[in-house]
Amino acid sequence: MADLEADFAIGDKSPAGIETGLLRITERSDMSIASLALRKGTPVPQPFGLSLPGPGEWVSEDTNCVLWVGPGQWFVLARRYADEELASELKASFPSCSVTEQTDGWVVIDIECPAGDEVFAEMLARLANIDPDKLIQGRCVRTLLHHLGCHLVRLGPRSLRILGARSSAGSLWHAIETVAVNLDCRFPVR
Amino acid sequence: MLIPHPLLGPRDAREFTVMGDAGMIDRPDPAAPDAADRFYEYVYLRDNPAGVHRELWFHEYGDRSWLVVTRNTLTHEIVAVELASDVSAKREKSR
Repeated sequence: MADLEADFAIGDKSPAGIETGLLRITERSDMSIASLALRKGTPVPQPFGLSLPGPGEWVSEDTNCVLWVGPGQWFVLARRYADEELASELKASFPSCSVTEQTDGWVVIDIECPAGDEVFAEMLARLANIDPDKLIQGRCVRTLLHHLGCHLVRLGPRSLRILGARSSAGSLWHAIETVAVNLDCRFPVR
Repeated sequence: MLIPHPLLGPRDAREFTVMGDAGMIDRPDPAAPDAADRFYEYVYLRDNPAGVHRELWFHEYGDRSWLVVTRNTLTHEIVAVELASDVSAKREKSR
């Protein structure tokens, strides 16, 4: 049998990454994702001991996090080698919920912006048509980013996580890269 | 156009797909004796009012919930927005 080597979602042999003067953009290869949906009249689960967050919110415990993605539905992200075990583990813990493996469907991109709040706000405004003041720490939103449906998660004051479809990861990366280059022109290093 | 989502606040209309008349929620009973006529009306006959209209909108690029949006088709004013699941739950209760 041929000895095959898997590429990462953006298409390289190693996770993609860019560092500009303002932003640090990284493709995460250490995230497992599963979705969790409640069925009518069943007990509410607490993955990793976390209470399920309300609309537009996310919560975390250690390196695991749970984000609200729709009424009665959440994404569970666990930081570890991206595999399909998370879904089976959740299904075993919460048999009355509908659990679906999602790791294969998504690419996770983290953006750090050490350059400051002004640059971060400008980046958000250029990425998606959302109110940057509402996407504060602890909130997440699913919206369009350059015509691609994405989840935006505000990890910290100057850090953002983007979950996009793995099948169009290259286009998403291009969109983010373009914003990064344009921001470099907008905020030249003095 | 902004649609005031009941859970998420004002959202860009580009995140939504409009699916037409909210009457689609009321699917006729296929076991009823007049089912054929009822289904003919359900599938083919629609009002197309110039004014206030109840429509189904799908938040496709958002939380993927179905909304019943009451909208004035002449002015684009949005009069009311409810989750479609709430609308049908209320209807079930009143039956």
